[in-house]
Order: sequence, then structure tokens, then C-alpha cells
Amino acid sequence: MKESEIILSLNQAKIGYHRKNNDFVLLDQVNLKIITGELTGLIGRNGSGKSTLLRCIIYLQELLHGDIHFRNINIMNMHPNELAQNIAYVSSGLEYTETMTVRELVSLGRFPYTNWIGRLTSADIDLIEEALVNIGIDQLAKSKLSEISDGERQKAMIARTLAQNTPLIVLDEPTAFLDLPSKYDILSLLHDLTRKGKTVIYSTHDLNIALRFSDKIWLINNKTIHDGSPEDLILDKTISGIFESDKIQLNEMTGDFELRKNYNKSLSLKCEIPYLYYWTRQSLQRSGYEIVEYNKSLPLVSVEQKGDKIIWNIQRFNENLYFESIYDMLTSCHGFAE
Amino acid sequence: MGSANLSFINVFELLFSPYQQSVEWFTVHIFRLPRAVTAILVGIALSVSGLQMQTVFRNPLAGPYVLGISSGASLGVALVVLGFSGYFAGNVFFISGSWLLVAAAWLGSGMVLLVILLVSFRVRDIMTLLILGIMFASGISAVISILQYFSGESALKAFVIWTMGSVSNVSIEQIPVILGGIIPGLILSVMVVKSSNAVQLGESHAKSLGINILRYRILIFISTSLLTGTVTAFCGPIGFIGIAVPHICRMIFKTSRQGILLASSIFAGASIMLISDIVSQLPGSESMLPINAVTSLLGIPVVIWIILRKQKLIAA
Repeated sequence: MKESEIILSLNQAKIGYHRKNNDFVLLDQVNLKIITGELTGLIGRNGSGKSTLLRCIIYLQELLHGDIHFRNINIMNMHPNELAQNIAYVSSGLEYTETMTVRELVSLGRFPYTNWIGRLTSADIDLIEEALVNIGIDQLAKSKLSEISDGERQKAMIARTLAQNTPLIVLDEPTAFLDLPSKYDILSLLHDLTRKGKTVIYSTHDLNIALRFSDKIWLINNKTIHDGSPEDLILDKTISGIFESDKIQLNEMTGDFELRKNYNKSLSLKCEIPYLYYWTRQSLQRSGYEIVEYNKSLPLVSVEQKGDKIIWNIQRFNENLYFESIYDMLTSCHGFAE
Repeated sequence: MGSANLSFINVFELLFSPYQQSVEWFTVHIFRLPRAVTAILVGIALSVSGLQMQTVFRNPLAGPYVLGISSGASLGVALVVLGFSGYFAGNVFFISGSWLLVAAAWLGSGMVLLVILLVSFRVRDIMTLLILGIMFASGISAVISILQYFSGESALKAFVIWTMGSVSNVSIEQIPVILGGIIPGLILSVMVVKSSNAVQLGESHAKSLGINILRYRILIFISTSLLTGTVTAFCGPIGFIGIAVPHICRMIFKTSRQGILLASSIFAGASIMLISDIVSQLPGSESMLPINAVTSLLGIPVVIWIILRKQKLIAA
């Protein structure tokens, strides 16, 4: 790791709030680094200190102990304007005035660069237009923020950080309150930005999306942060250790969380086509069937594709039932295999 | 005062003519001109402080009148007029011209604004702040009524007339005093235009863009106290201009850019106040309406319109 590639480092950081008697500590002994061009996902339960950590990184809040360096400069020693030219921030709650348009919002990104009255030069305007185009919201430039979707608003906020032209972008829960496609949309946008040289750190509750897109995960647990690539954290069981419960377990093949299986019935499944096999198994397991090796005494489910149609077939003793959907199969075999 | 029949051409001639020993010349120069200038200044000052308060509280219903800032200024004035009236032998015209009165109004409005600002750090809820403002206004009017109870007749009469709000008691000599309060206030509001744009995104974002929030709030605070305090001292508490004008400008220009809103609030505030004053003089008749009644009738529909749209504001 070349020293010059480290854009942000936390050294012996203690994060929390000053209290009269004893400080309320959320995170302690945090030593972390971010490399230029990485997408880092910060994960942790509510109240674990995600937002507070991010607020410390942009110096909205002071550390209780330790320091944070941006490219070898302690952020405490940076002028607010210099900091604003290097680190952009999107907070979790979006506040805006009803009449604000997308372009007006994005223009605010030029704030640290404009003169005392905030006049935009033609260079500023070019950067604003570029940001709008890069994020793909140039069509919405004249729309009011109150009239576009949550996902579009989040994109406008990200476009603002682009106009701010900072090497590092910090986002607090950019995917909260978004529908699933928008979550993927935002994350792939952030991922693309890092491929173009930006460094991005964001917090999220969407664990499997974070595992899929991030170069690095910061995982908060017990006042410490585990860091590593998503895959490392799965392989060394950090993720399953923290998030698994008696109800939920991590599928170590996919990174998805699944209901912990509590089988009371078993059957066998035969299918040549992998994805049909996968989804049929999924449905049977959810219904409480353990999938076992073929055995004459147990029911056999087989799946076949015939033209456009998929046929599910259950053979049990003398019965031979055919279904055209998983739903029909499950409702009909409800409670029939013991 | 009251109505007098003068044609437009007459007025123009008289306005630019040198001193004349005629009733018409006096009407224009001594009564009409200061009155019109005062109305313009009041409109500007109240609209700009309304705009600033709406930005700093991030609250569309904020305004000097609704949040009790005007009441604070009234308290300052009441203390001077009613409390110390003995010292001035009830000479209200002497008092109302004095810097003492203006300073008292600045202090009064500044104090209420400070308390509301401090509370607004802790309480984010729009309605709580408004209720607080109403409580302030009621509390202050209670204190004022106690003062009234114990005060002399002439001071009381002067004060009651003052509370009705009027732009007509200002003489041409007092206009420089008003300007002395309003010009620094306006200069400050131009200085904060840039920051006001960013503050609309909330405190965290504003800080992350490099704004010193404390400095920003203090500037707004001084500016608003100067603007509201000055006009209240001279013209009484005038309602709803501060809350309504910025909204009318937002409606017309459909923008959040503070520079545009400031400039348009200045023009719209001046025009609306001037129109209100003309309406209050009931052209063609001998009687006059209190200016407060006129501004309320103009402003209240706007406030109701905002409240009916509140659903959207909460979502934002």
C-alpha cells in the first residue's frame, strides 16, 4: 500500500459524545485507512455509531480521542473551506426548501469556490451541467425537489457532491427509504464513481447490497470496527457471527440472509435445469421440506420444461400429480408428506 | 392628513418645486412624502426580516409578527413610553423621534429572537416554535397591559395609537433615523445571501460546505433585530407583511435562490406596503383605517394558503 494512495486515515480514534460524568463512547481504538478509488460500506446496527463516525470524518463533530488525517493533514487543522473542497457530505435526512430546483441544489456544490455573494462563473456552470449529465438527471434540472422521487432526489444530492469536485464523498444512508431498484441504482452509481477515481464511503442497512458492491466493508460490532473485503468478512465468519440469530442465517454461497431451516418433513427433488432446481428447492425448504437423496419411501418432486411451460410433478406411492406453478404445487401438497 | 384632492400633475409639480407657502405644498412635502417613504421602508424591512427568518428557521410560517419578534419590540417601546413616560412629560412626539425608543425596540425584538433561536436549536418542530411565538406574544401583551394599567392617560393614549400601527406619524426629520436602522440591516442581509442558499439544505450540509453556522445565525439575528425593531419603534407592530411577501415572491419566481428572493422581497414589500397605505387612507373619503387591519386582510389569505399546503411541507 503506497503512502500516497491513502486518502483518509483514522488513528486511535475514540468516537462518542461528551457527558458530564463519563463520556458516552460508541467506538474506541479505531485504526482504519481508506485507499483512493475505493467504495467503502459502513455497516452496523442502529445506534452503533455509523452516523457519528461519518460526522467525525467531515469534522461536523470532534473525536473524543485520536485523530483523522486527510492525505496526511489532520482535519482539525484544515480551514472549513479547504475541508469543503476535499470532502463532500450527504446526510441521511434530506432537507430542502419546497421551491428549490434540482439545478439550484446541484449549484450549491460550488459553494466553497464562489465569491462572497455566491456568483457562479461560466466554469462553475459547466461543472454543474457536467455533474447533472454524469448522474443522468439533466432532464430533471428544472424540476422542483418536492416533485421528484426519493431516488431522483438522492441522485441530485450525489450530483451536488460531484459539483463540489471533492476527491472524497461521504454519504450517510444514501439508500434509506428507497425502493429496491433505486437502492441498486444508487449503489451502482457510487460504484461507477469510484471507478472514475472518486473515493466513496457510505453507511447502509442494506447488507447484501453492500456486500455485493463495496470494495471494503467497515463492520461495527461491540465498539470496534472489523474491516476487509466483503468476501473476507464472509469467509472468516465475521458477518455470520454478528448477524446470525436463531431465526436468521447467512447463506455463505450467496451472501443472502435466509430463514434458519426447521425441517419436519423430507422429500427428494430431481431437476436438470439449475435455476429451476434452485427456485423449486427454495420454495420447498421454506415450506419445511428437507431435500434428501432419492429414496423409494419418500415423495419425489421432478421439474421439467416443456416448451413454454414448466411442469412440476409429484410422485408419491401411487399418486402422480402435475402442476403448472410452484404455488399450486405447494398448496396441494400442504401437509401431505410426513 | 386625511384625503385631499390633488391631481397627479399637481403632485409632480409640487414634489419637485422649492418651498412654497401653500397648503398643497405642505400636504405633499410634510404629510405625503414622509408617509410614502416610511411605507416603503417598512415594507422592505419587514419583508426582508420575514425572508431571513423563514430561511434560518427553515420554516415557511416564520415571520417577525408570528414569532413574537414584533411583540418584543412592542415591549421595548412600552417600557419606554409607559414606564418612563414621566421623564418625558408625556411628549410622545419627542419620544418617538428619539434613538432611545429605537434602541429599546431593537433590544426587545433581539431578546425574543434570541430566545426563539436558542429553542429552535433543540426543538425542530414547526408547530412547537409557532406556539412558542404565540405564547411570547401573549405573555408580552399581558406585561404590556399591566404597564398600561399603571401608566398616565396621555402616555396610554399615545401607546394605544402606536399599537394600531401607522406610517403617518413619521416626520421627514425622523426618516434618517429609520434609514440608520434599516440600511445596516439590509447590508447584513446581502452579506448572508450566499450562506442562506446553503442553509436551506439543513445544518449538517451547510457546515459540510464550509459555513460557520454560529456566525451566520448571529448576522441574521442582528439584521432581523435592526429591521424589525426600527420599523416597529416608529410604526407599531405591523402584521403579516413579513410572512406573506417572501411567499408571494417564491410563488412568482419559483426559485430558492436567496439573491432573487431578497431583491424581489424588497420590491414587493415596498409596493405592497405602499398599496396597503393607500388603501388604508380610503381614497375619496375623510376617514382612515388602521394599517394593521389592511396588511392582515392582505396577509392572512397567504398564511392560510401555506397551512393548507402543509402536508407537502412536512413531506419536505
